[in-house]
Amino acid sequence: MTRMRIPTLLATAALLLGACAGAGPAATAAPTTEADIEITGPVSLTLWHALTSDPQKAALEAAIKKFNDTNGKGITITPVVQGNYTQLYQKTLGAIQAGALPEIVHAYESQVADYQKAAVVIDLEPYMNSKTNGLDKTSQDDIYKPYFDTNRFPQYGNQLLSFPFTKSLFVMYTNEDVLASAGITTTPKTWADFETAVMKTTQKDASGKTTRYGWAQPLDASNFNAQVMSMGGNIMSADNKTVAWDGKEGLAVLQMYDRLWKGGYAYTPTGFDWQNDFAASKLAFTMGSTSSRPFIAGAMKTPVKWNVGVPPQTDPTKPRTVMYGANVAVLKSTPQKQLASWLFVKWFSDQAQTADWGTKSFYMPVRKAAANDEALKTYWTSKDPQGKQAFDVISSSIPEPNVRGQQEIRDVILDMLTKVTTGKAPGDRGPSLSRKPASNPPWTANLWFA
Amino acid sequence: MNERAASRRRRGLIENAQAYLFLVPAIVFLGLFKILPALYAVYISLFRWDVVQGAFRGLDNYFDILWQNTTRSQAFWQSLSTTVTYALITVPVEMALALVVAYVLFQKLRGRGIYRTIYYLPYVTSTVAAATVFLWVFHPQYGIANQLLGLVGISGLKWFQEPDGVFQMLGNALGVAVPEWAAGPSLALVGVAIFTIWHFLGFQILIFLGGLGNIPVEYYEAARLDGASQLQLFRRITLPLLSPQIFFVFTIASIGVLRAFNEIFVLTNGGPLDTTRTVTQLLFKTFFQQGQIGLGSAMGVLLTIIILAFTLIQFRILGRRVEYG
Repeated sequence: MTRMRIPTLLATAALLLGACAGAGPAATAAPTTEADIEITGPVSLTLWHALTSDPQKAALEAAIKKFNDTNGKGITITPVVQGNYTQLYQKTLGAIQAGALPEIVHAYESQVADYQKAAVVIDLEPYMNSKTNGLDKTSQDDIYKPYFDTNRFPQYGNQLLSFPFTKSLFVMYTNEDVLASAGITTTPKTWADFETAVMKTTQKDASGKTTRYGWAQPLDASNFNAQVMSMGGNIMSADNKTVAWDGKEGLAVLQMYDRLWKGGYAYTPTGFDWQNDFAASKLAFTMGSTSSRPFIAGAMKTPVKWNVGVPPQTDPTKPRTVMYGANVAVLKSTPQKQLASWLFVKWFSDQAQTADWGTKSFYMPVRKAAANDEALKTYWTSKDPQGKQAFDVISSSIPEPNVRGQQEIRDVILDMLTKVTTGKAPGDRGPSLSRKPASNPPWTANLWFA
Repeated sequence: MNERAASRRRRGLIENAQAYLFLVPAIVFLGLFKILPALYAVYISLFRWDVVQGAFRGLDNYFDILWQNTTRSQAFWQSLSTTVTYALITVPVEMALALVVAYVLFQKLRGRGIYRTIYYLPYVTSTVAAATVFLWVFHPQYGIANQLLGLVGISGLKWFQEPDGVFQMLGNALGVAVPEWAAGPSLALVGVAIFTIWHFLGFQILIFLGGLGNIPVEYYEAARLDGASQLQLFRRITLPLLSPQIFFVFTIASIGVLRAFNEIFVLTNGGPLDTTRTVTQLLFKTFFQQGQIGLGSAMGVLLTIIILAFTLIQFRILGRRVEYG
């Protein structure tokens, strides 16, 4: 026993001595993590993004110029447009293969999850919580929680792999002039009222051809997800292992599409033609991203009274909608470049900057306090009242799932919506949902529309 | 004697070296940008390559696409069937039209040059730009195509959004029940084919015009003296002597249609309901949207093999019937 104890005591003492010796200089001189270091010299960064057109592209370039001019640490960022989100994704995948990545990349959550398969994305949590370079508690609390939720990846240990950047929301656009002409005085709050209003606002000529539609809805999985949520349903199960939209709420959405498309009250737009229809009062409702505001406003040849708000709800007292939009991820490079990238991301979410971004890009500010920003308030009042309406929806927004396999699920949803709106829903009683027996992985392949 | 032979050999070597030197830029270019990427695609196709290189799979990616994985193989065979249908609609119509137009334009026609230019214009227009314009021409609500069809009582065609088969639609209009197997290609695919024909017609006309110009006038004069009719002249002289051009156009058009991507991507993006998802579209989806790089590369290799096999068959069967003069 004693023979055993002596070496154990000696080993413990040696370990303690070693630990003390190692901890001494580190505690006084060197930072503990890469997130705590300081920028020591000029740093050049490249940001690949997907903002292909103005006003968003110009707004981002102006913001980056402002950062370059004012950061005082010698950080210079060069923004590079890499086409739309799909093209940017393709180029980033190529850059991963070639080992020639930019330092910062603009991406959707599912794309970030893909990039991290190659372990090239930096966890921003240590940077955000760094005492030297991070965001204080007040600032963290000021950023809307869903914006954090959407950028934490359960499949990667809940790491904060990206940060909110070009955020928007799924909202309903209402042409109040069309509603008034149909004798409707209030914007529908429930789905039942909405359907009635769509039918009432639709106009047909003597031959039965629709001359004014009640609703135009681009077919898209995110839109469907938002509608399911607003009907009280969920998109994924609590454990994120199977879909949850195939319940009664999902079916109700499909049945509503079926009724309104078959009746000639709603149509599937080609490209962005719905914006022109809405602006020309040939359309009462449409639903989509808040970032369409400048394009709709720009298409108006004569002033139109229009509003933006949460989509109709099953329970209007607890409104729910989907949070749209992309984020930025910082990719692995050198400690100096990673820190410089984080400092830009942090600066971009500052209250003044996010408020300014909201006025110039039409994307959503990420902070609650932005609502108190005088410049933003003036801008909303004078130029973009719908921007304030959109901002008020943020608290009702929920991020879409960011687990891997979402692309396959989105394909299934799109096929389902196409079948319903082109009258290909099988069976005499309209659409129905059923689940294929569990067979091959991935689990997403088990979903089907029957 | 020996000295002269040695000198000749030296000169020959120098000449060969010079020739190879001249070939170097082309070999480097082709090697770097064509052959090397193609070989690398073959290499990738042998691995599970899901954003990053994974385990070696041998030919399993190919087996998955062809039969092993039900979902993948169904999608592949469906897309191959769509590709063949698209080729069957496009190539014969395109060639027949091009031949007729070329024959007419070859006659002594007033304003012939202007017509030739007009027919050639679509070919030199950017595919993406032209396809975008086509989206508006065939717009379900505002498109000029539907407005013109409305004049003859046909309305409400959704064109690039329509997954229904054209024979099924025709049957519905006539009140005849058409079984599913006879539904035909979707209206969306027919729309894409119309675009392809319009876009590439000019190129084929140009080739045929070149061929027509090479046929000696004396053949026609002699045949006319023998009392041949216009149709006989075309069948007995023009067609046989134009066979090299017909064969060339057929080969090029077939390869082009099998590889077609841009126009389908812009017009339908493989939809509606995958009815225009050709192999290239499926490859793009697998590679870029699903991030299955190994599988996507295997699909690319398979498509290359299919095109190669098809071209070889064309050469074996049709190449022999070509008359080179």
